[in-house]
Amino acid sequence: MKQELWQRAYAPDPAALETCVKRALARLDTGRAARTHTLRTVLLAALLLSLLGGIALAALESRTAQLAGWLAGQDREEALLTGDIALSGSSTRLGDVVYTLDDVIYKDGMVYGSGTMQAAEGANIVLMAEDTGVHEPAGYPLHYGKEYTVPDDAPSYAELAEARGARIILAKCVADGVLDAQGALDASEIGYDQVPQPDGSIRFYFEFAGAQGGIDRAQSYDVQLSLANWEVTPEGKWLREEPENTWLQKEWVVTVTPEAKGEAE
Amino acid sequence: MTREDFEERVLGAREKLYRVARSYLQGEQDCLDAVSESVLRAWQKLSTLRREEYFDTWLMRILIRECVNMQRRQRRVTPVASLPEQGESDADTVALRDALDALPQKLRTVTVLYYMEGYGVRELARMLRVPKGTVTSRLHMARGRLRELLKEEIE
Repeated sequence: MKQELWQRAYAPDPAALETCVKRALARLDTGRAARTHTLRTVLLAALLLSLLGGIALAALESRTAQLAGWLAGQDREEALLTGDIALSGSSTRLGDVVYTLDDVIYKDGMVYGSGTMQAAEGANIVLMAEDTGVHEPAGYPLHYGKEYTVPDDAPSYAELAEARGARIILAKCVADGVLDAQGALDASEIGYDQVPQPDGSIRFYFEFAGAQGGIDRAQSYDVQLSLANWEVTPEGKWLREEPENTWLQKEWVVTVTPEAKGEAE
Repeated sequence: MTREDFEERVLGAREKLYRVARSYLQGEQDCLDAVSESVLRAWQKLSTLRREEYFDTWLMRILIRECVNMQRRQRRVTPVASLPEQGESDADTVALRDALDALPQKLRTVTVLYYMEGYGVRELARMLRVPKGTVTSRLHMARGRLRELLKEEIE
């Protein structure tokens, strides 16, 4: 069957599509794209800032700002540090995975947050992030354009699990939004990342705007997160269907109250 | 990559982006939204693109993630019978579309990317971050299912 015949099955309305894409392009930031930093550069910068004190202390206290900076550049980190920062530290467990929300930032109508997923105490599991293959080196965030070298003998997730006699668990945490006064979710343009860490944990990051534009600034926020995890075989098969359904899911609502009021609006 | 280059490449890929979005989402507006959001996210994340030659694969990966996010937010399955009309289409096109829509998501994804968009197995493995064997296996299963649905060999 010719490719053109295949493409006809899912053909778009050409005019509507062109308009849509041109509108999106017209909304691009006029500034340049975020700079890329090496991990070492970020750590050295944080160390230098910690010696200077002041805003540097705030930088080290907001893991969300720090992670946002790693993902999108120092401009983003510095911008978030001027927002309303709400420290959390709340944790919950789902199966053999513990999810901890570190902090949440409100800035310019958007909510940003981050946390950690790690094995529960005593659980013999190897954590793996979404969009990761079992044959990839464990604990390295490979798909973020960062400059570092993976040792040739770095074990893959499958190899690590075999060596430990452990199960491979794919864990995920994404934001659903904030709950409004009526308990309805307010969110749109939800973005998230799951970044593997050398110690076997996974850092999760999220950001979202409101369904009708910006989220209203508030004294506190009820942030709803969707948590999930499931087992993955050493061959990479997800065990999410009967009779081998290991898929666990739950919604987790965390109330956060900003302790530092910034230039959020 | 300059903004002009980025815009040119995005415009050039727009139909491909839509078709892949359509393999995940079933309303035209949802597909357009996914394409639009992916373009914006791609621009925001341009620093993560290691080499310009990987732009296509990288952009497609961003689109797929956006589509998966939208599927999760929608938390619904649209029965094949209730899909909106997509304008005038001949019977063969409708039959192929119905057959594609009837495939499980993972099989449909590789089928669309391989047959409709012309990606190779190695590219798909990199794009979807699964082993090449998994791509091949899914294509094989998809061909079998489509053969049953269409009563026609897929080459």
